[in-house]
Amino acid sequence: MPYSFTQIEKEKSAIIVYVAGFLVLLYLVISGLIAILLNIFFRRSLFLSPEEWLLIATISIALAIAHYYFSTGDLTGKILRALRARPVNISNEREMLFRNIVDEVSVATGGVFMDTCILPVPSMNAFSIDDTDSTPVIGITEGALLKLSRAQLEAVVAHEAAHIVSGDCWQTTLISSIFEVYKTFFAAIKNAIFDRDQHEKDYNLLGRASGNVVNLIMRMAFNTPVLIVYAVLIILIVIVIFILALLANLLKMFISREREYRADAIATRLTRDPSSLAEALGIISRYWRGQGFSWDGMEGIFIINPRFTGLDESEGFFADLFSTHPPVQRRIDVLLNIAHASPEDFEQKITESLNKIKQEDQKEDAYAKVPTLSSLKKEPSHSCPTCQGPLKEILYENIKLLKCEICSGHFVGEDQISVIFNRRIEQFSEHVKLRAKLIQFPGENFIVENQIAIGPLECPCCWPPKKMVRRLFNRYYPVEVDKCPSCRGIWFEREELELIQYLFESKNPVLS
Amino acid sequence: MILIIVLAVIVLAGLYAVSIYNGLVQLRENVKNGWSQIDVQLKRRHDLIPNLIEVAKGYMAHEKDTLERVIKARQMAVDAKNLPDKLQAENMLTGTLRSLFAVAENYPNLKADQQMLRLQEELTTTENKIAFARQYYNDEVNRLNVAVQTFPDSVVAGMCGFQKAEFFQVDNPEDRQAPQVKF
Repeated sequence: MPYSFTQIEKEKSAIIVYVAGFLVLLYLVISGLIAILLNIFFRRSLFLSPEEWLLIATISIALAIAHYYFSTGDLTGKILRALRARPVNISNEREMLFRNIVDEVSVATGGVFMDTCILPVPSMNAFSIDDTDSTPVIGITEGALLKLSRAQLEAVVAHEAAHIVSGDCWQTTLISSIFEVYKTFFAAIKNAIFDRDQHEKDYNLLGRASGNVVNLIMRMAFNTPVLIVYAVLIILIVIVIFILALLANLLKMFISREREYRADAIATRLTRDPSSLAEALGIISRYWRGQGFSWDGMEGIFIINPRFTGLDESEGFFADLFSTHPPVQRRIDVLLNIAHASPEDFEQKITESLNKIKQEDQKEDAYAKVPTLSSLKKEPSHSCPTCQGPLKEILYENIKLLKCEICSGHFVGEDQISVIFNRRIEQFSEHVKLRAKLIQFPGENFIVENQIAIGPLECPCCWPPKKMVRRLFNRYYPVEVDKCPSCRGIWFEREELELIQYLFESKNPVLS
Repeated sequence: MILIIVLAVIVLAGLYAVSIYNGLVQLRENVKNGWSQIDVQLKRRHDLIPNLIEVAKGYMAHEKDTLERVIKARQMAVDAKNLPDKLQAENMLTGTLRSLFAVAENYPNLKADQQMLRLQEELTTTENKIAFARQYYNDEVNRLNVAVQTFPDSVVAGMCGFQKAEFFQVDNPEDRQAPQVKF
């Protein structure tokens, strides 16, 4: 191995110094700017005394240290929770196989111990995370685990292990999490300023607290004419922080791209099997990679960007600067070149594998439509507007409609609705009947319908995405649903379709 | 002045030699680590074989010869002390295992046995681990051997008694592939 542990440790310390230095500088600039602005407003002077600069420097260092510890404490755990990963269950055959493969690759690296976990989602992808305190973790999605062959899994695991042994996994993990704090912060500020809808305030404690503080200051600023100065100040500060955070994002993007080629190369040396890695990349990139799951900001840790972007697939200065992954086809070409394999044979093999996977998917009666590399750019998402889960085509009252596997919502075309309401096959659960009763006879315990959804939802069947409009189904059946103004389809949250149908069939419209 | 320059050159050369020495020690440790990994995996294989024989016995009563050959080869591998013996015994064990799996093809009941299926995965992963451990070991031996023979590392190696290590070679070209435990 070209990388020895001592070398990795040295690089780690260098990165810690570098990140910490960056944070100190960031806070120094921010607090310096704030101090100068305050100085201009209150003392009408541009210059600060040395004591004041010392104070500012101390504050910046304290803030930087607090920031560093806040973002790096239990890093692996935080990310695993955010991804909703679960540990491997070794009584399951396939998961045991995954554990074995990781152990095998661990032997090939000369004994680097690696933990395993599973992402319980049907899409295909794999990732690795590492921090200073805990064991590095290699994770794989359920979809990839079931659909890739042993050799392909081995190649994927070797790629992830390569990130770990070369030390860049640690780097990506740290850098993609160090600026997470800002994201929450900005989302909260944006919320406090532009959108005061209570539904949107679904952030963590820090986000909520900072949002409330900004909210309070804003209110003070606008209610009291004297304090209008503060409003200007705050806007200035927000702009400053925004620019710095943007720079931070640039920094993160800058680090990532080349490491994928390097990890592919190291993986090839570990398994001596470039063709399987090429196949795995081909299959994952043309299958559903995880578009729609909330893995925002963590794209860097995956073998293939879960989000399909045109930028990833292009080359040039801007793509190199901003993208987290190199073009998949370039990676495959490099690997095929190492394997001395012909692209035609490869293409044929991939097509066959994908056809086989698709057949299996249909056999399992799986997901209605999986976005592919070519379709993603111009076709609707076909993912659940509420929870982003995959929509599956089902028969309801013998009518074809889309149902979300995860949250049980339904998407029904306009012309299908009246047909559904006139059929009497489905039975209704007691819960639906109870909810119907509450709507028909509100009384004191009237429950407001539809508390799950947040903000305007996107229509799963329209491209470019259309925002749906939230309104009551109609006057007589006052259940909130989302209607698409373009295709006129209706999105029903869990049980809502049954609820309206029950109200319709019980011939007891609610007159309010 | 000249004295200072000469001294400086000597000190620098000394430091360089120390760094080479440290690099060589690192390589030698890697080779040792690689060998111990192979050892661990080989032991794992030796431990698995009695279970495999136990399960196979129930179904393959007529194949006593094949089974006994595996047991004998395993015993030889366990007993082997020095490297050449070990290499030979392990290669023989790989060969007998391959013939065992070839014969097992004819026993559909054995192939469906739950315990057998689990053992099969265990053995596959162990074989892969042996292959990977061997690969790692040979890579490290190669790096050490190249370092020991090239200038200027060869000078330091000669002075401090670093020697070439032996590759874990596979005699028979057919044995290069890990036995396929596929049913």
